[in-house]
Amino acid sequence: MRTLIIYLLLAWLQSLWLPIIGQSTVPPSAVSQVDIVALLSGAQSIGQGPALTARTTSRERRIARRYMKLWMEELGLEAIEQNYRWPNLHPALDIILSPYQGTNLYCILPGNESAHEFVVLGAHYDSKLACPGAIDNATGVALAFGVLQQLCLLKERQKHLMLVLFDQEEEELVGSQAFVRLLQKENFPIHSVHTFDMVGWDADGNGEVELGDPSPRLQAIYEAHAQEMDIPTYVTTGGSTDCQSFLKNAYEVIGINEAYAKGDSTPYKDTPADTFDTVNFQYLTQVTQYVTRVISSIIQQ
Amino acid sequence: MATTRPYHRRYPWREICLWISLLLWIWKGMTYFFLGRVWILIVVLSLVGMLTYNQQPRNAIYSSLLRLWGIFLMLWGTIRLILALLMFFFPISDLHVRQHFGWLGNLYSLGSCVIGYIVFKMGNTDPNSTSKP
Repeated sequence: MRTLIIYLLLAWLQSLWLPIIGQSTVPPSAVSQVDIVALLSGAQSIGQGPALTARTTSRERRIARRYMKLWMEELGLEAIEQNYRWPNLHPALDIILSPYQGTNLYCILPGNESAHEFVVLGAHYDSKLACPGAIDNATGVALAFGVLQQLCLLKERQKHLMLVLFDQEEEELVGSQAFVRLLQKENFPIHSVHTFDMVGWDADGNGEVELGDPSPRLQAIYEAHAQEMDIPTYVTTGGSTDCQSFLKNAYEVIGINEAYAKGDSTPYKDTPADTFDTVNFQYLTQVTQYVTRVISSIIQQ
Repeated sequence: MATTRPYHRRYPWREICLWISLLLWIWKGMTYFFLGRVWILIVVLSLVGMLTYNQQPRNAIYSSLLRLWGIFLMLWGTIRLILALLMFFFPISDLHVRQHFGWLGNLYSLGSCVIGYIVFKMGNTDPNSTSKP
């Protein structure tokens, strides 16, 4: 009886105490990056359900969205779906083909009362046909979630944070273009956009990070933090990832990738061999810490 | 004594086919209109306008329009079927293109060919004949 009373007292004290001090580690319900990559690339499945072999068909992408929605809700955030249609690249194709159809998934981590601007973190979740897409781009999704989990723990956020998972990057960046349209339509005040694509390969072990098409302001911030953390970086321009959709619309943007332009990148891209066991999780963790540090500094300003 | 009327007299199935094809293309035009592309809707609505304005069985413009629309529908279906055949032997990875050429898409293409032929025949009806619809 005495034990029960002590236990209840402790439980009550903990419920009082936690909201005041905040949690000191990753939220207990948060999924790990290893689990994210494993589930999205089909190395694991939830319950008795079949494992994903790719994230290409509408059914496969729907299953992937169900997982990601769950992970957002585990963080106490509302997962919002943006269903869109998008015209074909050339108007003449409209005669033969229907428009693109897809679904972006996003959630918002609100800032303080004074927060006005949004920092957008984005990664695409689709993959090429018959490709498990572990590195391209389950690692990008895992990076985005890893950063979000850490930022949930921050007490002071001077900016709102938006996590968006794009559909149909592999099909002419359609998902991110549709999301840009949404941002413009809803008049979201955007501070900056950070996209992550392929962050799971580091064969030479130097931990190098590619900064794709960075705006001068973001480049300076990322380079300063990289120097402090002793992470080698280099800048590329003219990539073909989601950050291009934002760049075209004059947003402050940066794309974070493994050293693709220098050839230190997965040789299994867009093939059935882009599997869970090829992912370098040490590198993914290091990049997650780096990006978390950068984004923390931005949203605390 | 009751007389048996020919099936095509009881049901204007040729006209039904024509309007099904027009409505499906108006639907397609509307879809693209909401995505900022208007040209399909303009073309189809112009065709509907001209067909409605000239709708008399012996009107040469009406017959020509029907023949043209029928040829277009047949061509549309045939091109899609040829593309489907090519993709069967030489698969491509572009999912957006591939998903149009599943069995349902091919059935749709075949339907377009059949309806196109019916509409074409409708426009080809001899204007001097009184026995044919």
